[in-house]
Amino acid sequence: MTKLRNRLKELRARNDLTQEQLGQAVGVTRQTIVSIEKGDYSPSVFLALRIARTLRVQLEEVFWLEGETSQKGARQ
Amino acid sequence: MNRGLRWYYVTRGLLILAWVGLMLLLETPREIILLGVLLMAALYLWLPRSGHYVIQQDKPFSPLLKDERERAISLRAGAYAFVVLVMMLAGTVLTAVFRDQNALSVDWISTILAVGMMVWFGANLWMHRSN
Repeated sequence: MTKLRNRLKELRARNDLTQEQLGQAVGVTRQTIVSIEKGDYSPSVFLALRIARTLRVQLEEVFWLEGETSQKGARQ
Repeated sequence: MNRGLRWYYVTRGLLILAWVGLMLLLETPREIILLGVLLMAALYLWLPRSGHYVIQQDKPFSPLLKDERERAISLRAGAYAFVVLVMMLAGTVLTAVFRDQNALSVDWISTILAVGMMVWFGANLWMHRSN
């Protein structure tokens, strides 16, 4: 099955946010952010969009499907 | 104490007091009441710190909310427990029919329910560790 990949950890660090702070900003627990960063949990479209908005990037810059490259990666 | 959770603790304290009142009316032994109070207090103190809930500051009486991952875990654990319950009940009924029994033992039904609860709890714990 195709997995959802992400650059959440990198983008969160760039925005100087802790997992707890990002979780509070998007309305989920720290554990959920940890699970998403590890790739263990695939967020809903709603949560993925909220995360992208909070990090001020396009959705595809944070999340992409395995085998594809992130929007940022494709541009480089 | 987290000031945002003040009303949560107050209302849960009142709930415990109401439960104690009911137990006293039912003439429940004091040791059982004390044990119940300790368990309920521990549960209400642990829940906000468990990391399983988002704290909603705008809802002082019910501030604990499960996020989407927690809801998904609860739903899947519930589904596993339900399947185990149904399979055990079906097995019990088939056995009773095979043995020509007309009644099911209440103790056995209680055991099946306890197994269902253990499956739910175990599945929850396992999914929290693996997800």
